[in-house]
Amino acid sequence: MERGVEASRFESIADRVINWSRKFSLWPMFFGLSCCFVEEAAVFTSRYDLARFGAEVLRPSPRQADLLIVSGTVFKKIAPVVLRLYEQMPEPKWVISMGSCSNSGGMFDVYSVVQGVDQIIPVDVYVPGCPPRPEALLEGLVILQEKIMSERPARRVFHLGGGTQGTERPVLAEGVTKSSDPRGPGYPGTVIRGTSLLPGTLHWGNRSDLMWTPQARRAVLSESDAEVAAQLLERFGSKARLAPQSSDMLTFEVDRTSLKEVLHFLKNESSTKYRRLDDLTAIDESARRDRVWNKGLCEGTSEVGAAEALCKRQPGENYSDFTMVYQLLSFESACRVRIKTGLEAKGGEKLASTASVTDLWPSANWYEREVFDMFGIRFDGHPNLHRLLMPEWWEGHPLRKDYPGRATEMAPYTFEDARKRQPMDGMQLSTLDNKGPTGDREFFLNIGPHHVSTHGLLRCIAGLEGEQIKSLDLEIGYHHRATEKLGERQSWHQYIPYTDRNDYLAGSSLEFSYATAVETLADIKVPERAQAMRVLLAELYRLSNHLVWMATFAHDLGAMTPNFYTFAEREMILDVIELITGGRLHAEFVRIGGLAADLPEGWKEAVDKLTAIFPRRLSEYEKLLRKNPIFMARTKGIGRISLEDAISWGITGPNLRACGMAWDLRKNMPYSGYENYEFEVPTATEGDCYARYLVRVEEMRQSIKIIEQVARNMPSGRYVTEDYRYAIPRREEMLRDIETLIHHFVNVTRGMKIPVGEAYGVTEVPRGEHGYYAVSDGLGSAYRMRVRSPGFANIQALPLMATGESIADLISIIGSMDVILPDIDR
Amino acid sequence: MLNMLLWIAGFIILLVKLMIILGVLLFFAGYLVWVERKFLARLQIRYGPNRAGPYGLLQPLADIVKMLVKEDTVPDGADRAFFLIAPAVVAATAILMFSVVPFGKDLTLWGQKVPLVVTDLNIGLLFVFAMSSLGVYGVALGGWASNSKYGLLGGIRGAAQMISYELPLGLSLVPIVMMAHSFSMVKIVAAQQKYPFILFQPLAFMIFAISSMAESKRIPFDLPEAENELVAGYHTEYSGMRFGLFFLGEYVHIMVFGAIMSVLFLGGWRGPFLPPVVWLLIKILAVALFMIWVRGTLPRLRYDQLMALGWKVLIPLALINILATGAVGLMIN
Repeated sequence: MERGVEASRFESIADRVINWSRKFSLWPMFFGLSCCFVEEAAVFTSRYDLARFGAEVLRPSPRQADLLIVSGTVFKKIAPVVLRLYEQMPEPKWVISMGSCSNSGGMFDVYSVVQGVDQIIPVDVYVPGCPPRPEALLEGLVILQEKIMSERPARRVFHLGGGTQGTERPVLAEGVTKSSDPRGPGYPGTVIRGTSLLPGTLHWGNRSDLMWTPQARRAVLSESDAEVAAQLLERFGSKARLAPQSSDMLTFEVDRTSLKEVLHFLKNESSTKYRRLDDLTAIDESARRDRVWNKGLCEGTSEVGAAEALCKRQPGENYSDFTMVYQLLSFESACRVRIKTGLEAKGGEKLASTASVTDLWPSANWYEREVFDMFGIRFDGHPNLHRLLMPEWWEGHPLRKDYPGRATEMAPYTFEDARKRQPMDGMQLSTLDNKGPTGDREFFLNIGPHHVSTHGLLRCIAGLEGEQIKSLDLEIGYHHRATEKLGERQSWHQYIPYTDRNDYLAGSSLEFSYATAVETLADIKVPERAQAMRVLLAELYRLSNHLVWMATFAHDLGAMTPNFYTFAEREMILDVIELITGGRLHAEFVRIGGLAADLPEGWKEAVDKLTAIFPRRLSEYEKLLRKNPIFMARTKGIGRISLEDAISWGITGPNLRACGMAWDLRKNMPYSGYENYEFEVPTATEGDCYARYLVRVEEMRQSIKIIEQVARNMPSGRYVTEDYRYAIPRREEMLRDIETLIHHFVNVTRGMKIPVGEAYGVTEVPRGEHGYYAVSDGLGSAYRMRVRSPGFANIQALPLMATGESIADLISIIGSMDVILPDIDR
Repeated sequence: MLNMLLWIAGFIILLVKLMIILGVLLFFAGYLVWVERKFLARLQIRYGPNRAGPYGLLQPLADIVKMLVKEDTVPDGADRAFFLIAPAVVAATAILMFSVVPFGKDLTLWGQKVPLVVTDLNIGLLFVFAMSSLGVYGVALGGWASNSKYGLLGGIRGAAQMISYELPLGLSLVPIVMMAHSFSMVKIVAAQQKYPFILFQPLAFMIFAISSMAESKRIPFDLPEAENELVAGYHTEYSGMRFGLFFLGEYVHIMVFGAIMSVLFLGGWRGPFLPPVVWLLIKILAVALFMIWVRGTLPRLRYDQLMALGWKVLIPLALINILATGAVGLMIN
């Protein structure tokens, strides 16, 4: 009896000591999935300082970690890796699920995303938010500490049986222990609106037809455009037809058979030479509303509402099954051209094929693989056509119109799936890419999909000889958030939040690109003040992005301190952004036709303070790196790429400018009033890591100059267009007259209608040229939303830069390129 | 009989000394982690640990208890015996090095002379190098036995780096031996009665400082564990206290090199006003803080650059330094 009391007293003391120790020694794993990780990283820096709780010891190896903070979206492709890392952590271990995506899938109810990490690993603490602020994560940690104090670990530790420690909660199963029905309990058997069973777009579509809008914008051809058009018509006759109407650029419809000749002609022979393949994508035309009545499609649909809608169609335009879209850019005349060609599909599988253009532009490789992956279109002559974004075991082609986009409509992703679907073996994948083994004595090293220095979920498979990289294969798609599919589902305004998340460090810059596309299409005039405000936000985000880049680049090279300095400055910038927009990472502040609100009181003082302090601080921090001999040894002459290669691989942004070309959309194809500001386009010639560093640092100085000018000359006037057909009206006006109130009601509920047409909107975001190609069928949401991202093109050239260098150099190159995964995988 | 008693007394004194030194050493190594975390935090405009006890002073305790009660995993396919023994090799060799470091003048207890050093080997310096070389086995074997590619790469890097930097480390000390006419650490301290050797041998000091940072695998030479490249390098697969031992080994290494640097260049335990042991600790701490500061400032070298620095710069410099010292010595005598 007494012995029992003694024992339990000892136990309770031991419990307390152990719990106390664990509580203050929670080492998190260096693990991040997407946006939330940026806020997680901020927690470690000066303002929030997680170190106070003894939890700053980020361990890159799961073996040494106690805490897994699942920060960001859990993709079906990465979920097996998450599970494996969790299982590699020794007991006891805890899990914090950070952010809505990790908690429940959040706003990404879409085919590639697991609807909550608790379906594959147990979770102790959920931190809500999208993304949660750093303070929220701090609170999550404190809650976890409290939870740890309630555990009884002593019996476990001394092998006495019983006791509790670590995560004891079960893994949940969709439909059994959890439900993702957004309407709450009590609705089983009732169809959810917005799913493929009850498509929201059809209903809204019919209503959209009741709304009248003017025709889409009609672009006037410039002289050089007209010349090229004439040349094409002369050379190819009826095989190349000038599109009847275009909102943004010279557009040609070309026969499939002469496509390659046309592209070759435009690249090498026409009066304006289009040297860069800007974008390559496809459109599935099978659901066009004005398509000629399609008997097969109509009879194939079993569901009543959808079939009715399809069969009632009026005979109209004769769309092909697929349209391939090639978009080229000419540097000398600063203009673009779009080439479209129709493809007919055969059989029930809807097989279509066309010739590959990889021999004209090497960068077409990934673009064509993406089209194959997303649409199932084959490319004859492609060297290694296999899936790019989706894993090899994936069934179906997500961007086809008959593919249901929602994850909640598919079988739930379970623990067993995560066990089964481990990423493909590196050697196997390398063989797939190179059409045969690349030498049997090579040592294959997997860097990623989850690695400290890949800046996200990128997988590099390096064939090594010693530490030298002999071959490098990339596998992407671990961060595929299906933004393009979402664009076809969300209404025009609802899509804005998704654009932020397309590049979580560039915030409003991407909203800006998107708004530009829609505004070009519908010919919406943006007031001057709104234009200037957009420039202000874009430049603030450029600064904030480049600061993060500088921090991570230095960190990749082993210098830990610049991180903390630049993040401190970044907080200052985010404060200004927060003052103006109310948000930090994802401002969601741009609206079609303007912005969400006017500048608040006190914005000028805040901006002025920033511009006064920033240049001095930047020079101070830069001293740590610019002339540091180790830094120079690690970056000079490393990862060199020639201007020629950079152009043919479609590299944009600072990475292109570091090769010696002063090409910046803000200067060369000005938009939103950039022509009114004085600034330079910094360049360097070497094209190596050091050159990329110099260019970005100088860009920060130029951005500050622009911000200064914008703040000084901020025009007065409206912050949103008067054309309320397309905008969410200003509140004070909405409350005054009934017309505006109606516009408000329509645009907020079912969303506005954008006229039939297509347009490409692009801006210079921190990473390069980020564009949205919006195709409208005259409905409340896009028919096709293509995202042309700079990262996709930039990273594709990584093997070119890194082959022959060492592993350490590879890390340096990735760091210097400023990659971010959501914009690569989209 | 008296001999027997004296022998027993001597043995007891030795045991007590061992216990004290081991305790103090581990205590300071643990607190060096705290110092590092606090000092780095200050460099980075942060507070650092401050919740576990006042000023976070109980932080090392929390970490050690946590690591001790953490699951100890051995990966599938690992070479079990080597995997388990490797961390101990690293920690033990680091601790053993301290046994030849003198930390004060001889003490007289009950008429008995008690030297304030565990053992005054007449080849003290060589012993340090021998132990330091043995430490390589821990790193290389640990990395190799883990059956992990990152571990293996880290182990290879570690072996190559540590062997390469042994040479400049040893060569940089030859002039000291020449000046002190002895390998014994005690005699070397004695030789610095008037002036510390750093005044005569700044180059040797520099080479030694750089090489010892490389030996203890600190930034800018932390390639064997470079987390940005190799996840955690040779200790990628280690968990719990075994990982803790690697960690501890590293910090003991810093202490030892701090101590050796103080003994060889900074006059050892000599200094005004304060007791000798305190002086030695201050000097060790100064060296450690310098290393932490370097870690907070510099990026990491690349593998081949590291090798180039060792073989093409430090070794020739050290050789020249030996020649110069010899020449000057000849001229003076």
